[in-house]
Amino acid sequence: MSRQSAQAVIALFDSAQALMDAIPKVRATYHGRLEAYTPYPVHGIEKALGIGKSWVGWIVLGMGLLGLCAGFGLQTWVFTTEYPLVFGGKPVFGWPAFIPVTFETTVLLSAFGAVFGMLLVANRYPHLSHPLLSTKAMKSITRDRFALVCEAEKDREIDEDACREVLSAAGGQDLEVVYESAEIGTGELLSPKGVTLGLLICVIAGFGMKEIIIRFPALPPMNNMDEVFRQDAQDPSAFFADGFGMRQPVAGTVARGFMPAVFETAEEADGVLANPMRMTMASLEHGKVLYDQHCMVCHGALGTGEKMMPAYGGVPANLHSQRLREVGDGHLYHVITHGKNTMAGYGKDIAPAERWDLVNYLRALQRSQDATDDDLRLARTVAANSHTESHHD
Amino acid sequence: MTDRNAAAAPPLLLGLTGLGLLGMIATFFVDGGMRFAANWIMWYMAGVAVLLGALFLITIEHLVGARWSIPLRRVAERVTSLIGPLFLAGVVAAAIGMGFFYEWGTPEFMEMAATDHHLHAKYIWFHPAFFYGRLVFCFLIWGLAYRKFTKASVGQDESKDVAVSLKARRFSAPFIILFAITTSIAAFDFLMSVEPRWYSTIFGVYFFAVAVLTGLSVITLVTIRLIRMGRLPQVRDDHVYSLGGLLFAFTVFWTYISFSQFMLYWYGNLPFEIFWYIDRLEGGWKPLTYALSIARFAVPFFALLSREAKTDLGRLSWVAKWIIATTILDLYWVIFPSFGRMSGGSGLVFNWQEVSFALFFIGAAMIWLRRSQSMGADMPVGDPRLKRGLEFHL
Repeated sequence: MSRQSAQAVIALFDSAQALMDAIPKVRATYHGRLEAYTPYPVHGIEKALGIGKSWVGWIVLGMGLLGLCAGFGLQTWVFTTEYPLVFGGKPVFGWPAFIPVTFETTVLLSAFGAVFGMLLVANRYPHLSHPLLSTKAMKSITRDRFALVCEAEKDREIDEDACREVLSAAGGQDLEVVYESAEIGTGELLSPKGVTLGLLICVIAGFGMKEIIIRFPALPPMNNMDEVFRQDAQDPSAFFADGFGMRQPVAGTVARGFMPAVFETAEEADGVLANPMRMTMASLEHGKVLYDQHCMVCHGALGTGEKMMPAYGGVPANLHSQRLREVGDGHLYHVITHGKNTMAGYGKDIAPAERWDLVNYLRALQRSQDATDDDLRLARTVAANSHTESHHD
Repeated sequence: MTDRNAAAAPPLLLGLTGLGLLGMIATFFVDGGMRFAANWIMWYMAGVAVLLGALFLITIEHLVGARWSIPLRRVAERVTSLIGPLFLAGVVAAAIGMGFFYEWGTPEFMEMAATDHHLHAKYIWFHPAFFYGRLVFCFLIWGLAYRKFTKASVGQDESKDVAVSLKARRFSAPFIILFAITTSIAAFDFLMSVEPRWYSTIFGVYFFAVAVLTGLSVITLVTIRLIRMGRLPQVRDDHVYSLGGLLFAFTVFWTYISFSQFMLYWYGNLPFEIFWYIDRLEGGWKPLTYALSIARFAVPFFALLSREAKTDLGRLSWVAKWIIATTILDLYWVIFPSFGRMSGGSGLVFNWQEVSFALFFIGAAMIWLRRSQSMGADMPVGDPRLKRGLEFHL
């Protein structure tokens, strides 16, 4: 360093009033950059120093409006375009519900704008140190005295003697000159010292947090609702008289999509359980599919119950017996559902409506093996029609 | 004191007020009692809002030991002198309301209440004797505050008795509770009861926000007028800034309260709550509802947002007038949809009848406030804390 260049001249005053009185006197002759440092906010000092209106307010306004638009826009996009869900019967663009979040984002970004705008823009942070901090004057500024400082513009120096003169003329005491650059760049943060310090802070904070979580388990971190008050399956319960946590459904409960099965035997169902399916072509065709899949293997394609099972010792019913021709639909339905003798029940495999289709098909099958002359004539007519129809196709 | 002449109303003001009175009488005979009652109740409640706003400012000053408002307290105290004429207006409002306007005042109400559980549950509340009793109770409480605050403070100008300030402080704590109760009662009785089936537990707070906004606006206008007349020479920007700040804060508070209620009712969508908003979000009322939210929130919010605006007398003056106008719009929005339901229309009426009421009530209030400016000194000169109030710095 060559001959030291003066960067700032500090003068101290004993009271806020003395400082306020001195400012106009200094400003009358000195036109450089002037700063005041006080232990507490002094009302009106910014006007006396000629500091213009801060534009942090505009930053706050801009950030607030940004938060408003971002918050409202994000919700609008998510709820109307990206993932439209209906909540409580409200329209997907339920804007009244967006307002609280919009309010939060507005306040959040306004606060960021105020704090970071003040620090980064108005106070030109970050810097690790300021030359004034290492002066003797700083001790008294933070205690009970008031400082007026002539500071150099960026990359310039001040006229040390002129500043001394004007400050002491205004009543300033304990004058002190600072010979370093008043501006310390952000480069310091990336210096080995700054990086080391930053890493150190991260490590200490990380281990500190880990230790806190381990040593104070009474304050658990977010546990994703691992522990909730809930009755688990099979757990006993002191609430109910029988001590069981799990409850039986109320008597008469019917599961959705199921019919109650109230008949013990096929005879009981006979004549009481009515066929709800009309005997349509569609019903018969579906019934035939089911018959071929489930029944034909034992009862045979014609329902005579021969040929297949005798080899294995079974005796499947002949579906054309007088007894089975005379029983009601309910009887057949019950046997299909629950089985009979060695025949298994098909209730689990075939839905109720489909069992009735099967009953319809069984009736058609019985009639086909016991047809009257009229039936045969009708069948020929139908076959002829379907033949011509198939030709048309 | 020295400005007795300034307190006398100019002929134009007297003439317009008289014209309003004639229009009001004509309304009664041309349109019948219902429209008269709806307008009267709206303006009466606007007056109650001013009274309660002023009382609140005085109470809060005594209660928390605020310094900034001491030099302006006399302005608020003079505004509370509206209590006398307001009591008369309140009795008239109750009588004509029951006679011509309120559904619960009709002879059929008893039959309706027999089949409607919501009405049945509120039946006792709407008993005329109970209603008048509550009206008298409210004014007794407010009258007590008028004695303990205003009368005592004016007397203190001469006596310089410190005990007056101490008594006011001691009274302010129980009074703030009574203030909350009576404010709610006034809001429930005269405004909410236009829809006797409606439920709202927050309506008292809503009217409180309206009251403080309106009272503060009137106090601001009177203060600005006195400052411009040079009668408050020691009142500085710091005091005015606090007035502007409170106006700004209560603008946000009103928005918060009214939007909270709307959002919760909109979300809950319960039949006995939501119909009040459906009435106001359909037909011609819909644009008025949106206009109200912009006029009452966006305009004063941005007008008072910056630091300079809160000390700019010109800006404060028009914002205060604007807020008073939106208070009337607010009360109109609360009352007149029900007027429409009762009279068989939208209720969205505005004609010479409404102008007459505005002329009369604004004129009468201005005449009364001008007269009250001769009450005591312009500042509470007997209050030992006045000096601290004048030294107030932000």
